[in-house]
Amino acid sequence: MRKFGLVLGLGLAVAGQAAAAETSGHLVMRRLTPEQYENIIAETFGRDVSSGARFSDQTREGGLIAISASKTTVTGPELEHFDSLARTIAEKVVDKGHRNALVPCKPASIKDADDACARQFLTDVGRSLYRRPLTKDEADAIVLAAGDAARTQKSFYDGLAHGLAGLMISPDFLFRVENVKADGTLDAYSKASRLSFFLWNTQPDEALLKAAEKGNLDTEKGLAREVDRMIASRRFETAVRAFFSDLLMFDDFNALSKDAMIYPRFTQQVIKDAQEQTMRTLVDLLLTKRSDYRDIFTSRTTFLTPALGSLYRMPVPKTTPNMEPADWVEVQYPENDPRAGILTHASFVALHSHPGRTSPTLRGKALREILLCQRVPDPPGNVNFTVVQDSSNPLYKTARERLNAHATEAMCTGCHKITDPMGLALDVFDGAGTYRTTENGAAIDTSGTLDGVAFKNAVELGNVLHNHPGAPKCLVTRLASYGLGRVPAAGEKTWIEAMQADFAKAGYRVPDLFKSVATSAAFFKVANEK
Amino acid sequence: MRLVRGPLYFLAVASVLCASGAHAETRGFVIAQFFPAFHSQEGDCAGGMNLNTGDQYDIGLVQAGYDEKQVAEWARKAEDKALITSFRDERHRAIRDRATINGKKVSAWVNPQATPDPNLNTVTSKFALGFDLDGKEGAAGFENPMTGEKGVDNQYFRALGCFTAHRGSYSDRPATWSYMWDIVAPAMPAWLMSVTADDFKNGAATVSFYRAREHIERDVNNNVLPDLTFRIDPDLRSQVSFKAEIKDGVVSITEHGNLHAVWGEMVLLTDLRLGNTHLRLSLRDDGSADGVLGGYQPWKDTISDGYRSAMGADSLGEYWNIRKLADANPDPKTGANQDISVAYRINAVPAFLIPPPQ
Amino acid sequence: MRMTEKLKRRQVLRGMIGGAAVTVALPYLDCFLNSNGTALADGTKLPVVFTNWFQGLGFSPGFWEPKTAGFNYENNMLLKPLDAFKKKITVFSGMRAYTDGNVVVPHESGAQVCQAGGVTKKGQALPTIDTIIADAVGTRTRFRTLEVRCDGRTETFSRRSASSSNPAENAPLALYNRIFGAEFQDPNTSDFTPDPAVIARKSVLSAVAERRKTLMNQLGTADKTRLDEYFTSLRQLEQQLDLQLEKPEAVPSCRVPAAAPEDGPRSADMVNVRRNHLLFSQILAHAVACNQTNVLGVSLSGGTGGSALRKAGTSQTFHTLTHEEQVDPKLGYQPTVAWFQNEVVEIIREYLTAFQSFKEGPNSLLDRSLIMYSTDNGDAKTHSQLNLPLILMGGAGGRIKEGQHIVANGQTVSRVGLTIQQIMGIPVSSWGTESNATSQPFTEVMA
Repeated sequence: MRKFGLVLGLGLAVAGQAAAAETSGHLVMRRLTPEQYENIIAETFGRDVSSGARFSDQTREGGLIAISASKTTVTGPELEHFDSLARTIAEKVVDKGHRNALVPCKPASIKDADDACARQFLTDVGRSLYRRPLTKDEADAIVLAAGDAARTQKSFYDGLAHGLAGLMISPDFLFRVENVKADGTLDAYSKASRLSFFLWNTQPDEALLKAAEKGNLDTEKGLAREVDRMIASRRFETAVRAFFSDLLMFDDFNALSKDAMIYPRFTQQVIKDAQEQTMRTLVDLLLTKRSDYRDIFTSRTTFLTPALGSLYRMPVPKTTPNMEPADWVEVQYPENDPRAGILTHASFVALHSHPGRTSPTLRGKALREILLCQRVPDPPGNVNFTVVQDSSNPLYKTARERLNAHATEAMCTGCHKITDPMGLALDVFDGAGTYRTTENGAAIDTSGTLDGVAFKNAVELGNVLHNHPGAPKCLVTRLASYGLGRVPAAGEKTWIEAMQADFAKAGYRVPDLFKSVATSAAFFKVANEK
Repeated sequence: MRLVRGPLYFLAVASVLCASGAHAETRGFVIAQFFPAFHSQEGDCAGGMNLNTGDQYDIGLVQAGYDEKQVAEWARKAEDKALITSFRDERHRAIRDRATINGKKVSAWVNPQATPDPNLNTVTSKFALGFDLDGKEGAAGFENPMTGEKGVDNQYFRALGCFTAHRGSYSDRPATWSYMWDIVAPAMPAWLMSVTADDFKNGAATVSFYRAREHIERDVNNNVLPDLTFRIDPDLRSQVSFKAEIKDGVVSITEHGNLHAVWGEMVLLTDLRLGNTHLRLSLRDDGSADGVLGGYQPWKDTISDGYRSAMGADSLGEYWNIRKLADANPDPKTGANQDISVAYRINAVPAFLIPPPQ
Repeated sequence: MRMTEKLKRRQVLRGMIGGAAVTVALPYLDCFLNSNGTALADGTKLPVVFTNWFQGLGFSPGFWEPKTAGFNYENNMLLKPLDAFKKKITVFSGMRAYTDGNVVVPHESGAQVCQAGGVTKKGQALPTIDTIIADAVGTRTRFRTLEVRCDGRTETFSRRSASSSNPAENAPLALYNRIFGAEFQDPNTSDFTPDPAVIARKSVLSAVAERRKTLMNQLGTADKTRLDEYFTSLRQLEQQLDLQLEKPEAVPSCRVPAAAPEDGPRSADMVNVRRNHLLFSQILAHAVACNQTNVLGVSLSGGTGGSALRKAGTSQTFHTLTHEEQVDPKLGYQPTVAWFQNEVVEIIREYLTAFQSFKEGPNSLLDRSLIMYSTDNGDAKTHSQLNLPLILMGGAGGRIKEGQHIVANGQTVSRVGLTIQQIMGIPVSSWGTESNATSQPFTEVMA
């Protein structure tokens, strides 16, 4: 342990104040996500200084990775990874191919330290990486370290790279550390960071930092102006994608595997394209067309590639020359088509299935938990699943028959009633997402009810979900949690309800919802806890 | 129809390939495998199997007039170096320059006609896949082991069947072909086929062949991906239709015209040109199709430059065997046959075909 | 006690920055390995050693894939000679190299995808996995990599860029002299000069560590705990650098080979190739044990060069036979081709044996090795890029769960490369180009 560790610990104990009341929400220090890390590096140094950041595991809390990012730290192996990554990036930034573009000054001698030039570069870059200007002490320390390194290695640029690497493994970079002013409110740079990570999934740009400097973010008008500018920017799409990718659990695709004998069309390409299909559909509907959020459950417009065409058994022509990657084709399903809305995308039905068969239960559970924010209890520990799992049993040809047989056990019936009716409507999509009308030769019955409203098939299920009051409410709760990095506190219920009402009143426009969150007082709230 | 049975999905695409008849349906396919239809069996070469390439080279060198001791010495040296041989190597120069024109040694690969015929073995068995193309049982006619048809013409098999690298069967691809096919298939524009009929069990039909604008893709198990969409190449040279009939789910061409497929990338065969085209294609319940395509092919088409340097068989021996066994289309001046009877295996999987813009 | 020493050393090093390099002589510690032999006495792990082991022409399909999947798999005919090592071997089957519409170069494309994550296009070159690993972990050793080839030639697939391919040593004596010749510094006897780059990194980490005090004051209790964990991680990183600034620990298992090897003829006769390989593997094991490198490249022969491997007394090469030899209808495979393939597996066994017999405490060099066997074709007869055999061998210092047969039909072979990089501790989340791009390592083999 560091020798001053104990002293510090005591100091903290003295500085600590009363714990926050549960009603107020509190300040959280969030770890960067790998995407945010990569975005910041690309924004600061350009795309060709690529990174490859990763954290060992990403858990989900309250339905979101974004919340667990407020609770995780950087482990030893992770820091080793970031140290190595930082040095690789730093070496690239100062190499002969990049230094002229990225380092704003020339040293007096490339074989020796040049504190003035190092200071200029490191404070510049530091402002971008730390999302705020470096303090004088920070700047002095890193310039000194870079100078020491330059002298030891007899190379200005080697020294500079060491200094830069130091910035990139610092907690001020790897975590979103926020500063609180003497009056207990969030300082302007921390506000700028909250905004930019929420609306762009990356660090603030120079204009936002300037706005923060000038105090613009502290006025309602100034804040609204910046939020509007940010939502109008192309970067907003990045944030919308990041949010939905988190919400829809697309990180689970990394661990998804299908039985190759049963689903031979579920190729690596399909795994990539299935996620992108949904993302493009969402971006098109919610951003490009500014449609009603609820249309994502009913829309007959989507985007496909030839690989998805093979999976869905639909003609999707390639539009690019042979040997070149396929482009996306906008597709309009006809009125009588069995597909509509994101529930019928492979990204939903294949993700929430077993490797070799569908799962009405998993699909129904995902629908309730992800899209309606409801909690479905886990199955008890001692359940016999044999009947459900054996899809070759001639007695029970369809999943519905198997689940009925299973649910005759009283302790299962209750839960399966909650999940299965919606899942069974989707059972015309096999475990990979291919449409079918029969299973083992028997017709698939897709009728059911969701919270008392009846539907005949998957398309009608989409309509029911579209009209379910819980769906847009759930989105508001999730987006607020995503923005705050925590589950909203009990005292924030009124705020959430107000946003839910506004969302409905304004026609369920998602960009407006982002704005509601980003301009609310709760979004910038600071804990009493210190 | 397989292609347009469902509603049209695409605003961008004017039309998916359409059938002409009121009730007719068109099923599209992409050809997943294409290879010579051979029927190699134990003992089908009464003269024995031909030697492997290296040993045959040594015999060829002696036939070309080199001293046996010299040939043996070259062989020893080639081994000693333990490296890939190159044409700078003395032995290989000699192998290459086995042809003689006006007393000068020239490349045998460019001038196979100026080399001596090594008289290599040909198939002597009575069975072969293919069709009776000339309507005669004849001395050269085989019997089709699968259909019992007599008088089957497949001199291409007769010419090549005694080389190890060409041995094959209905289900097994000859090694030489298969590796060439596997090399180019990931890049070569795919070869498409469609069958149009009112009734796919029995009745009249139309069979068409097209070149695609994109190559095949593979599924997780490395089989050719079905239900992929292909655009038909607008180049008319590679579009051809035949009248056909279906009996018990087996499609046969009834008007035996010419077939042409431009296969620029195919190392073995840059153009597939067939006369008197025959087809026997079984439509399977899973939507796939497999069968045999046959006809008369210009024998020189089967001997491309790429072919000559291909591994696995003595290419001069192949050249002479094919040339000697050509059995159709005599040259009006010389009387020498210009075409050889062939049969190829086709395996196809369902695909969506998009016709070229009008 | 040890803490005080460390702090003093920090001060010493700090004082020395900017001055001349100082030779630090430190006292020996008499016990260097902890009880299980995987780590130095202070807990620092011995490095994992990576071998990129290549032989073209693969194995006959249907005769190498283990008969069962998962742990405790049953070996098929061709891999039977490896039975004794099965618990330290993971076999991947069904994987393919995607060529994305590029014309397949028969004996290159597959090897490129296995080793570089994609097909190399004209004028480009992707770095191979051994150089990627060497760039990340090879900087602390005398040689970033050591490459050998056993059939007399020197070309390998290993390269860092289009213009920097890594030629191999083709003679055991030359390899011996390169490692154990005049420039060899015996870690058990020599003096030590600390690396200025490490000194520089150390001072940067110190600057970062200074942030602790200020930051801690800003945060709530929960966040303090998390930040405290971060600083603990930072402290671990500093300790690693401290170690590098000390004279390297003496390596008890480091031995200079008793005698220089005698070169045989440079030929591709299997007898000779096998002899060369055995000599090479013994020298390489000694080199690794003496901390000379952590990355090795072994090519039995090349890709197309695989054509040169010969069975003594016959004219047909391995390559020619794959195309020309008839499949024995009773056996179901090409018998002479299978003889060569069996030889290759026997030779792999000899490599494993050489590393296994080099003991470091209760463990062996094999326990901290990660060896990748890769090849160019799934079926050499047809130059198939499908079902390429890939095999990972060795204990990787406990970072791998060996002893599995993983069936990954249709998946790109670059997943194995990504897995290896992550096992080796390289910061990559994805690897490969076009259809071979992947962000999915085989987590089931990662310990």
